[in-house]
Amino acid sequence: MLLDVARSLVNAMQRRLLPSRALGNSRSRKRLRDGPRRPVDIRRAQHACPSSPSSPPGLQRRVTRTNYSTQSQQSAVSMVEIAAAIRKGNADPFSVMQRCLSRQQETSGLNSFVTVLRHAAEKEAAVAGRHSVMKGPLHGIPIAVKDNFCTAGVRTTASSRMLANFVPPYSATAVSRLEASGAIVVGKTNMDEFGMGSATLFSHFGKTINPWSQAAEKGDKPRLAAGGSSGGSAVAVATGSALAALGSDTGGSVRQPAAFCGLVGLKPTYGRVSRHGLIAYASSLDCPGVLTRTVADAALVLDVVAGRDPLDSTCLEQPHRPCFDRTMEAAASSRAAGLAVSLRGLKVGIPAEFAIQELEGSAVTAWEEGARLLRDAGADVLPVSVPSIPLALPTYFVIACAEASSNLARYDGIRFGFRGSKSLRASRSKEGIGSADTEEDDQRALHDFITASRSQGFGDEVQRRVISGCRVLSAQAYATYYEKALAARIRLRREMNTALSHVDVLLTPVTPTGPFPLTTPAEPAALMVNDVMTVPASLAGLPAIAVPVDLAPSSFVPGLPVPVGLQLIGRHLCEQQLLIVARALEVRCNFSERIPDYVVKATFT
Amino acid sequence: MALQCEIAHEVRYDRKNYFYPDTPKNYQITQYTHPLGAGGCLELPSGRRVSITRLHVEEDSAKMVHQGSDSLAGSTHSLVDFNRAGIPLAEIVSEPDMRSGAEAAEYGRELQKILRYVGASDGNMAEGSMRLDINVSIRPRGEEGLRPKVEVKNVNSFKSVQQAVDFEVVRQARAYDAGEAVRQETRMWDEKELASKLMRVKEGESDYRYFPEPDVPPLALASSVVQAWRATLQELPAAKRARYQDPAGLNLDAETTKFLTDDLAVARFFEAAVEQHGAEPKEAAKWLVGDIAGHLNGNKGRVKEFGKIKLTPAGLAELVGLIGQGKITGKIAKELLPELLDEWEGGEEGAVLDLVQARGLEAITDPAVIAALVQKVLEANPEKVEDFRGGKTKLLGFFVGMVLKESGSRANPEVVQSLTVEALNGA
Repeated sequence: MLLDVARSLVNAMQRRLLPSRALGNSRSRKRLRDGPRRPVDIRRAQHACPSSPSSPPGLQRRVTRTNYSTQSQQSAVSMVEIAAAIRKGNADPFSVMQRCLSRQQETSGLNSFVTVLRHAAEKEAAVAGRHSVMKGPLHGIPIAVKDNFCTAGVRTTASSRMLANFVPPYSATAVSRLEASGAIVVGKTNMDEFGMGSATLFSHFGKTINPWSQAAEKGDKPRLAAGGSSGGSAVAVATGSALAALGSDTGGSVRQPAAFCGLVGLKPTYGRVSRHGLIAYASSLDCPGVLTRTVADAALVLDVVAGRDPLDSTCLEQPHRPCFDRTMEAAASSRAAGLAVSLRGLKVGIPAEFAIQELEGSAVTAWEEGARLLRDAGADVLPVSVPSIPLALPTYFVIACAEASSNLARYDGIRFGFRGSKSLRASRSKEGIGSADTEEDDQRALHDFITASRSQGFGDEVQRRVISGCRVLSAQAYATYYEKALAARIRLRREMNTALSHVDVLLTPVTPTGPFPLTTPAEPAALMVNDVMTVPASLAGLPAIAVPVDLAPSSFVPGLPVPVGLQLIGRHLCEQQLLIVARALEVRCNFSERIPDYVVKATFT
Repeated sequence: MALQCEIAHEVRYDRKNYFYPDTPKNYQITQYTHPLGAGGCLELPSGRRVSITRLHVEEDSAKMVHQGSDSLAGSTHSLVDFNRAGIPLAEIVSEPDMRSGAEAAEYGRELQKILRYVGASDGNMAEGSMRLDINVSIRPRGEEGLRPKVEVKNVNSFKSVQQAVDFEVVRQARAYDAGEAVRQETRMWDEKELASKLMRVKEGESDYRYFPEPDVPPLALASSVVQAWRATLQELPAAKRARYQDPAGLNLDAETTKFLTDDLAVARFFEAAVEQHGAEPKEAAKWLVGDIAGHLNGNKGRVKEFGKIKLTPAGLAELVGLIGQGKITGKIAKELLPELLDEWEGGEEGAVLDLVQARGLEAITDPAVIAALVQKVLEANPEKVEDFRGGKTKLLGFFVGMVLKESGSRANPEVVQSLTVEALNGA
């Protein structure tokens, strides 16, 4: 089923047959219709469309038109600035924590947290406030942690019924490093079960709602998705319930919710941050990531969590090159300093294959604008080609499901986790205890027991992916699906690296559309299209970052402004360069000052 | 390498997926497509060569203890000991090159010896650090191809290997004779009843959905690394045996060779005594095979393990040398041995001789001294002297023994013999 969908997706993408869903501005749509297969040539496009320098830039025009009220200066303060204030004694960790906790309470209706550690966090913040010695660069900073990172003594559910009562005895390396640097965990955030989803819709603990949907009057207007699977982490940061959040990105699970909620979402190079203690979904793709308000915030958090870890064999040995240097710090607190950062000599590639049929007009506009802004900053913007991009999505699903089917096999109800209602003893004693007289009978009883636990403990989406994964690894399907996916992955990785040998970074949209309404789609695979822009970097193991660049009217809720993000993909282990480019883009978009007040201020209980 | 295998250039792992309570993750990290070693062989002391199909590394599973019955079937519940689950182990698969239970056991012993030689494992079967499953398939003499094989598990000693193979051969032969087919099945060896019992019948190949292990990255083995390892490889049992028996070299007999090479510690001791301290090989071997082994196996001595004896290779070489030079008698050496093994603290050059001299145990070779002893014995036994001279020549042994006893075993037996004969016949 999933496979058929995956297959039809590829076909559709290759033949451009998918029905158009997006309702972007007619100009972009028309251009895409006129030249469906033509790659977006950013230079040609700029000469041909109103967003060229000769006419008023679409970005500025739209902002002037919508004229959203902007948030107060205080709320716009970044994590880096608060950390500096704490260090200088100008801010008190306890009151910083209180502000976050009250924001969490005011927005509890968005359902961003599975577990809130109110008392523990308050207590720790009070202790942090009394200490004159700083534990580290994140001293007293409230952070939210996605609920698939193990936290010692705090239940870790992966938003699954299977782990609803699981309390790990140890903490994930990323969490331990954050805590060692002084950060305080506010709570565990909601997610798609085991990371499987793109909307934080498939959670045992309910859906998470995007704070940007609040402007729509309550009642009949649909609520928008926060994105996923790290939707809870995104909403926690977007609402000010935490100053930064840990997420995990398997195929876009950090970047996509960041884009949907107007945040920065960083997925580092695969292996840059340890996976130890991260509940596995797809081992070869899973990557701890960071969601923050600003690029500098993301850089600082990355510096804390990155680096080798003997507890994860796939964690890279190379020492981490710090990304949050003085330049970044200076730029973080001063727009002028940021604008001074020149990208002269840097080459930005625009991969033609990302210009797919499903791309919304606003995304195309933002993409063009982003390219222009980087050029303004001194970069050369060139078209590049990654021909295998249409294969990325099906390749991703085959590999992710295959690994998931194996990684999730440990949840059998025997040693820990949810145990199905059909007990082993009951299964065995259909004809009385001890009546099973062959090993086959016992095997059957055992399998009935395991099946009951897994059927009841896993949600539908997880079951779909596990079953698909078992299928693609089966003897009959291995060569047709899994082997081909491995080959496609190698090809894609090679093409991406080749493209990145000509340019320093790639610039692409993050998602084809803006945040969509939070309704379970009739066809579960429809949601997968959302990952089309983000899976290539995941398959290639390259660092990628989503940066909020623009506001655009939602194509799903008329009149509602929603954020639009752009994705930058960097070279292997070149987070430093990636973040500098992201910072240059960020400061020229000036997004943070255009976030509507209600997103960070409004209560929602 | 010790099994003459081709070593993989890249160590890769796969996942084998199956649900069973002895595997906590419900998958096993193993090497399916790229074993660490393949295409090796092993030569048995009997001369037969057994081909090694492959050696792969995988995770051990938990130990299941079924309560109320020997197997899962019929048991009331099962206990699972996870202590060894996830620990890496090497599985060595051989080709069907053995022809009897005795050969299978010999293969097991030789493999154990090699693993101990190279330090890969202590090979302790009782503690489970070496375990084995056997597969038995029989066919009429001259038939090509292999008939269905039967796997026998729970074989916990080499003795059981021999018994289980022989039992299976007979069981399968009887089945064929009775016109029945032998199924591919798994049986369990019952040590008490000395019989194999049905465990399960294989119903086709299970689909283990193997795929490359994503949590353990491949490890490249540079050929320079492999070469460096090969250079440090221990001389293996088969090569050692050949060297010990080489007529142009040590020229030891097969039995002595087997004894010395079975335990690497004994072989090393022997080689040190001979090569570094100049001991006469056959004499040194005789002491190791005979009196030293006897001491360790007997119940008089305190030291029971070869590794704990106090005697050093230098000490053994000196002891053998002193006997050879006639400085002590073999009898005195035997008397000193328990002390040398159990509590000796000397270790320096000449320490054995010092001990002998301190105790006044040097051999007596002076004919005058010995003649006096002979005279003394003859005078103490006038009737027996008469008897001897009357034709009871068998009494010579008695007189020689008495003289040796009188000397405290120190007198040179040959001199005693000739002087006694001379005295009895001469007077």
